[in-house]
Amino acid sequence: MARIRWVKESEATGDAATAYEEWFAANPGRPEVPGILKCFSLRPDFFRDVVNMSDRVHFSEGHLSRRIKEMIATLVSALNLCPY
Amino acid sequence: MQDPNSDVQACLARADIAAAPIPENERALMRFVELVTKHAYKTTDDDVEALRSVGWTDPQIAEAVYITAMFAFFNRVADAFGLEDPNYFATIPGWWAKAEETPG
Repeated sequence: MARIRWVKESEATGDAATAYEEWFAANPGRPEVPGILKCFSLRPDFFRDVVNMSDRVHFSEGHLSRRIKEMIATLVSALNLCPY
Repeated sequence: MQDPNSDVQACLARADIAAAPIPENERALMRFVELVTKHAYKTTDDDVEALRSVGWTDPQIAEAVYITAMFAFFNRVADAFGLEDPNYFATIPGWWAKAEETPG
């Protein structure tokens, strides 16, 4: 559990439960919601926006190849001294 | 055969843009990503012009900024929340999942 208590899948109720159900439906075979996304579970409406935002940038036919996008992702996280 | 892309990812995971085995136009884009990540306020017209001069279009430059900023957003949230999973964003399906996780 993160230091800010997010909503666990098993304890989700109301809109948080709905948001999680939608995510599992869109991501069959995933055992749990990734931690980075669970961070947004305190605001299920925003959780959906974040999921949509990351999907849109990735799945939409963008201007940059996926390879370049992943290079950017790797570099930014390294620069942010984020564990990678 | 060692996957060349993993060499690139390994260098970038150390933020070693100079060592990454990539074409010069991609190196210029990575330098821009570093600039926007570290001190976006220092971005100048020349920085953008330099990218155009090596073939990047404005839509591509704009998208690079979006993705750079999006990851800063995720990094800040992950750090503030204190995510233990060191590979936290590799578990996001499809997008930045590890290469071997995504079939084909």
